Amino acid sequence: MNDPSPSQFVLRPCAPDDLPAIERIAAASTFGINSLPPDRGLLSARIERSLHAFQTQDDASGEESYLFVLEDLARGTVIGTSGIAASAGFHDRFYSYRNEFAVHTSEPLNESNRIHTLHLCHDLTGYTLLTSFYIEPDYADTVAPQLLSRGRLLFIREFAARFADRIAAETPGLCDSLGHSPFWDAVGRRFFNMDYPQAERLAGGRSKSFIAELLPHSPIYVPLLPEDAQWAIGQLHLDGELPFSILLDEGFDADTYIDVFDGGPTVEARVAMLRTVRHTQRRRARATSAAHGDWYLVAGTQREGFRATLAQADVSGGELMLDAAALARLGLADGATLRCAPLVIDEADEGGDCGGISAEEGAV
Amino acid sequence: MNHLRIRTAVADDLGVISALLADCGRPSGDVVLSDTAGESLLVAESGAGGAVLGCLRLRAAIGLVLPRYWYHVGCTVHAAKDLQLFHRQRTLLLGNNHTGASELADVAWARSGVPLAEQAAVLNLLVQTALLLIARRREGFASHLIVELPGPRDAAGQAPFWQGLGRQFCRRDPLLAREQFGDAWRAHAATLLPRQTVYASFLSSAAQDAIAHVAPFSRVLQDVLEAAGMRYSHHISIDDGGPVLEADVDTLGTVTAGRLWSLVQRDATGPGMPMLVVHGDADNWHGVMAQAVLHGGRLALQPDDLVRLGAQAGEQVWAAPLRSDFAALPAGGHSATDA
Repeated sequence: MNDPSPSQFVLRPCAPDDLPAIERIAAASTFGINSLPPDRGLLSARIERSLHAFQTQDDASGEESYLFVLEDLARGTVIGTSGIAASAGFHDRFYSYRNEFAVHTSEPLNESNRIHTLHLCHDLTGYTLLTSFYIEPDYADTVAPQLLSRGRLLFIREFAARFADRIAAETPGLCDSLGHSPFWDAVGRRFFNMDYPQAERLAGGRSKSFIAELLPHSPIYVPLLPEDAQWAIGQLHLDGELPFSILLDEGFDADTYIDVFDGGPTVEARVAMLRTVRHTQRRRARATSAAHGDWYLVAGTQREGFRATLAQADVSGGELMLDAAALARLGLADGATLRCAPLVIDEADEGGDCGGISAEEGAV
Repeated sequence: MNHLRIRTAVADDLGVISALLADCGRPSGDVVLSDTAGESLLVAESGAGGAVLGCLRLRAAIGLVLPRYWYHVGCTVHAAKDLQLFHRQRTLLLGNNHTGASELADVAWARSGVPLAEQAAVLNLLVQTALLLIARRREGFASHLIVELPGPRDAAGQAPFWQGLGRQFCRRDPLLAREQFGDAWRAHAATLLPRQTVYASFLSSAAQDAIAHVAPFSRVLQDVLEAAGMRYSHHISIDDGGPVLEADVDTLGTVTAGRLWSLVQRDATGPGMPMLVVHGDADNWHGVMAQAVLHGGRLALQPDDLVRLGAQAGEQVWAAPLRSDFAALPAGGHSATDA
């Protein structure tokens, strides 16, 4: 595949016609908690829930689940998915293991040990949860994953009232192609006596908290686990490295929580502290005949019909100057209000405003 | 074994006691006669001046200076009826539950070449004597009595239970630490062990198998203690996982049946009742099993038994039926409260 242009991608809400593409992605994605269920009926229901979340005029209740697809306009195909659950564990609890450390000391034995324990917790319940990230391997080395992942942050910032002020994301932990996970084998299997895929099937699509409630509620002493399970704690599945690195660059913390099933890292952060959110601006669009300037993530400000794309733009004049083709990709016209953030955020500009204009100062 | 005698240990016994303790897998370095008040170290000998065949230390209250630790073995059930899942899990929780209890400790006995029945006789006499001493000075002991039984160990002396649990948190070799610190090493190691509930299923299968299992050579001791009324109540030792047998002191037959009697001499002929008889004071106890005749508040012994006991007619002794046939005890004598 030739190097694609950054401007040929659009992030948009999934639609019923995307079902075949999403089925294909579900079949290809890594087994685990972040995967889309490889079941047509469940996927169709997921799309319906997402459509409702984007369209509803009701106040947000927290149960909304948004599913985006990334489309390669040059090929006319869906090449990735990403999602947002407005409130993790809505109507239930969201379980994680929290890493804790205690120092045990014996002066007479002249010994002091730092003991790692895992505490089953609900700390992340109610957090906004990033889900369902998948990008076709051919696009992994392009800028498409940036749009697929960070475009969600523009959406969250624009509709902040519908989301929590804290955010988390699960990333798949170590497991083989059959779903065998060393962490599950050492922990969950002792309480289920079955593989995790089998346990999930047995749970019949119920909340995964149903499974977590069968796990031990007292701390797990990591030194008692087999070495491969200890090593798997906080380790990523190979397929999770790309989305994980994007989130780490955003400022997510990966040291505190892990997934209760496969031990993969669950990252979390305050939304307001994420780099894209800190550098986002709301500007009026001004169409130009030719593209110029730095690359930006650019998104519309309408919930229904939301679009995000990558475009060269100039924000130095107080308006967002970008070419008409970019506006067309967003389905918007000259003068529309847009939200944008630099594709590449200057490290030296960390913690400051973008272009000397804070996010809200630039609002139209 | 009819000439067995129990007496308070003296300094000359320490070498033999140390050897017995080592043979029974107990800490054997720096054995002392008594390291706290209210403590008695008893030995069983084969007649006056005979070979020392066993030992037992009676402690009035434990863990009040240096904390003592045990695991409580609990159970938790993880069940999901509609998933048809039902798992019963054993749990271990470190604690000091027996702090303040009285203890039968340092129980060791000669095993090599000794028939099991004779081992049991030695142990039974040691245990029953200790219980009678408790009855004699009931106010000096706690309401709860425990005995730690040795758990399984391999030929090198290593305990699978420690290898599966303790070793993950304490690097020190337990055998070397025990030699250096004696039994106190466990208190030192306990501060390194998990303070929260541990699911036994996280341990190796060998460690799980060792929980509350007694070392094979100690089954005879377990039988003797259980016959005396002690029971496993879900506590184990933190080093080898051996069971802790427990009892409410005032439910033990020997304690409740122990009475103060006035001694008289009887003829060497005629049947008697098997009684455990204890005579002496805090630093010099003697106990023997004798065929006694009870009558009118007096306990009549044959002349030979009086000699073995080191007592004379007219003196007062404590006695209880040696076996569990406590109902056979006739009226007479004085209870611990009376005394």
